Amino acid sequence: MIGISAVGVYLPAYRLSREIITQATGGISMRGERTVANYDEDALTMGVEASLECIDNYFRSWGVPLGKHTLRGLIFTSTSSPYREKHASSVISSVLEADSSALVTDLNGSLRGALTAISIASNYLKESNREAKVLVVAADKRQAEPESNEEQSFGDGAATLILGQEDVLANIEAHFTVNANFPHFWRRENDTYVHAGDARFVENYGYFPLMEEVIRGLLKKAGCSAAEIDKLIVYTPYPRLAQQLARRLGFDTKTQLADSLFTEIGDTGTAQVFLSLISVLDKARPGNKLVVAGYGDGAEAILLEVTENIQKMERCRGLEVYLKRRRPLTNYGRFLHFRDVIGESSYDAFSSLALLWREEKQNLRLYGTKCKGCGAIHFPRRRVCDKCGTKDEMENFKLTRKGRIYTYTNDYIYLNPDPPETLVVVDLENGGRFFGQGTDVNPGDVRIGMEVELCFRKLHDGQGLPNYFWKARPGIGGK
Amino acid sequence: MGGLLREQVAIIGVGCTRFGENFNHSWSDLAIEASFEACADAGLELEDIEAAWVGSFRPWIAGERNTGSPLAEALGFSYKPITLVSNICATGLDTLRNACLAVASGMYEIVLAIGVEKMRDAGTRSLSLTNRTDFHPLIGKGRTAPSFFASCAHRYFHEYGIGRETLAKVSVKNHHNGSLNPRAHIQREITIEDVLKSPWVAEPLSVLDSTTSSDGAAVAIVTGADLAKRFRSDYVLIKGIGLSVGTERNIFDPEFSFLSFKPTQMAAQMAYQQAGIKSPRQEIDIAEVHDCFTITEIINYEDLGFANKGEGWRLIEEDVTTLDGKLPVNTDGGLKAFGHPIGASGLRMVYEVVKQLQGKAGSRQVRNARLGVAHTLGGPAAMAAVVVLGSPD
Repeated sequence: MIGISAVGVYLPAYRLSREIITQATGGISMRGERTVANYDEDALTMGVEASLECIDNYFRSWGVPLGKHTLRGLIFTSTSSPYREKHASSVISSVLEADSSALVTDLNGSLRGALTAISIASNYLKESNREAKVLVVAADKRQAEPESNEEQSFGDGAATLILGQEDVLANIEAHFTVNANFPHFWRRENDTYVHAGDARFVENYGYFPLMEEVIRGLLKKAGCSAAEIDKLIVYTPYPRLAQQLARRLGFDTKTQLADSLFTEIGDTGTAQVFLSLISVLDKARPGNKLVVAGYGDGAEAILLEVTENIQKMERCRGLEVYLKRRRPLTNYGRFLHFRDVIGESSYDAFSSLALLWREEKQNLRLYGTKCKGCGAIHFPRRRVCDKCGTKDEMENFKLTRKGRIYTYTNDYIYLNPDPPETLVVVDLENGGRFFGQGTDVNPGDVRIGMEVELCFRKLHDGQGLPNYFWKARPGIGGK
Repeated sequence: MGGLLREQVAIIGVGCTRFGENFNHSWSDLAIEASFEACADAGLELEDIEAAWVGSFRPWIAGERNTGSPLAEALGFSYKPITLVSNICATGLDTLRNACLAVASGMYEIVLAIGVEKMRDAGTRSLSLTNRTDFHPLIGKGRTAPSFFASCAHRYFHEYGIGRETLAKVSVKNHHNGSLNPRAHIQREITIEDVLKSPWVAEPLSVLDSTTSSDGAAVAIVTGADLAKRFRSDYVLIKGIGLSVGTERNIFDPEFSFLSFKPTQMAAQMAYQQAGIKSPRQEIDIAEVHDCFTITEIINYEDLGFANKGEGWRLIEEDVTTLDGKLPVNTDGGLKAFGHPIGASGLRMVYEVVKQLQGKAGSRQVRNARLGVAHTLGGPAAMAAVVVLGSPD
């Protein structure tokens, strides 16, 4: 049976209180706050973060690394991929060093993508060898029109599941789909912002009937009643809808309905049900039955049964670490700048498609070179050792993503939507030096000797491409 | 270290524009001002010059490309050998070096070395702009000139326990010297408090820790030493000149300390060996060093052998490098107050050292100056040039 072997999450550090939005826009404020991706983050970079964490968690739980022979698939699902044409999954799979023969694809365009990805992955795994695993990455940074309700309700984030036949924390017991041509949210080819239909209409003729139908269908197929379900995890644009839905289906909203995390982070689109599921798995017990239902162009749901292995689940950090890691945005203007609505976001940076292609190993996978002659580590990579002069006697050396700040500055000249720009020189744990930008850090907190880790970010859009690389940020915390 | 240049080549004339925001002067105007002043100073005509080297970081501002043509165009100095030299901030002294080698080779008798830079027709952020868009698309992206030296400063503070006040004293000294110099970009005194209160450029460096973005040009006319005597008795000898070019990738080297700069050490070693200098601190009377930022001047003291490693800051705290100190440094105001048109700065330093050795430095004249040094540093300490200049015996 196919199930979930590991989970990973990523939430951006910035939070925007919904009151700060309405103080600027004059609307009625919803409760709580939303996550906001930093200016250098997008759905792809957040997906990389969640995936790296998920792979780490997999290793912690099962004691074996997820290698080229076991990582047989990667599905990236999002409604806000940085690419309209071209897969984001190919970038992520390069960073993760997935085998070139693995299933690597994007599933973009519907909020339901995370559930559809599970369905595709499950079918693929049935045809694969028993050790095979598929990574499903759900990430969103949806662009809401300024002053719209969605500007308050949306949040940014990512979550990743590893699916497989062996070593599972929760089995997928049943799956059910209801397809429908129902536009609740949509965005056309040239639209910047997400459109939402009239609330009364889309709730009563879309969300409620479709979600009811899929959950009832799933329970019937599995021969289960609502009372037997420990947690109901449903996509919901606002908490009120999930509560009404749960009541209509005969669930107890207090004990059975999972938190959609709306108050703390907002509606994270395709990632929402995964994040909610992960918060449930954190407290789940063997034998627990969970319903997970996604919404969009119909609805899709699965029934999960938690296995004994749940007690073996090791995670470098729980969701609560991300919930505690908050950098409040105190200014609505800054938020608009991060979203490219106002301000000068980047300059006409030099880039070269051929150069990025030549250097993929270095730039995306963090491989430097190590001189076989004298052991010197070079990043950027070199052919001739600048310590001993040896030519073309280098081996690949993968940098560790952890290190300490050797020196730094906070630069007020460099163009940056989140000034000042912190520039750091980092000595990495297993050797090699990283010289580059810092991010997600309070300038006043930067110190020589401070521990940092490298995270995947977009540097600029030179040559019309998202130019991805690594930056240093303070550790997120956890084990 | 190369062959001995010692006492074969001399400077017989120098010229220098006022540095500053010379919006009323084009690149050509600057070249004309400095060249004709140098010719008059040497007592010769432009047509007496057989060949020229022009140092410019961005000569295309003059409407030409990366060629010698902008100088030919400016001076009407056409159909003679003109070579463009470009080595970022080390450009000016490298230009002089090429001129010296040409004379030492015997190929030419009288040549001209000129550094010209127009900084202020490229917007106020011209310095940072060049750093924002150049280099690799990803690796090291975000680096600006100030951010490199600011990182050096933080590490220096960490290692040696000094703070911003010590750096501020460098700026106060150089502003004082600049206030005595009618050609300096900035001619006003400042206080330590002014430096500490001035806005950040890159922590811990403020605006008043940083050089200016200025237009300007400077010229030296170079001949063989024997010929020089026929022009004037107070010619100045090139006693040694060194250039060391490394890589901007030192910033990625795990062994790079951000506390000292190998190119300066190497260039100084070359120049001192040619000049026979063994104890720079005792032997040298005045020095012009590359103070693009206050921290740089302190690190230069160490790399040039004026102080032991980690003790450069003592020279500023103990007033060793003030005008009336034992080893006055940046007597003309330095990059900080005189200004920094990139390709011209090295030859501007030469202009000052020559005037000091000739006793023509006016109110900032250092007594009994016989031996002087000029030093420039390019990029994130990627390259450096050092020249030793001396009065004839």
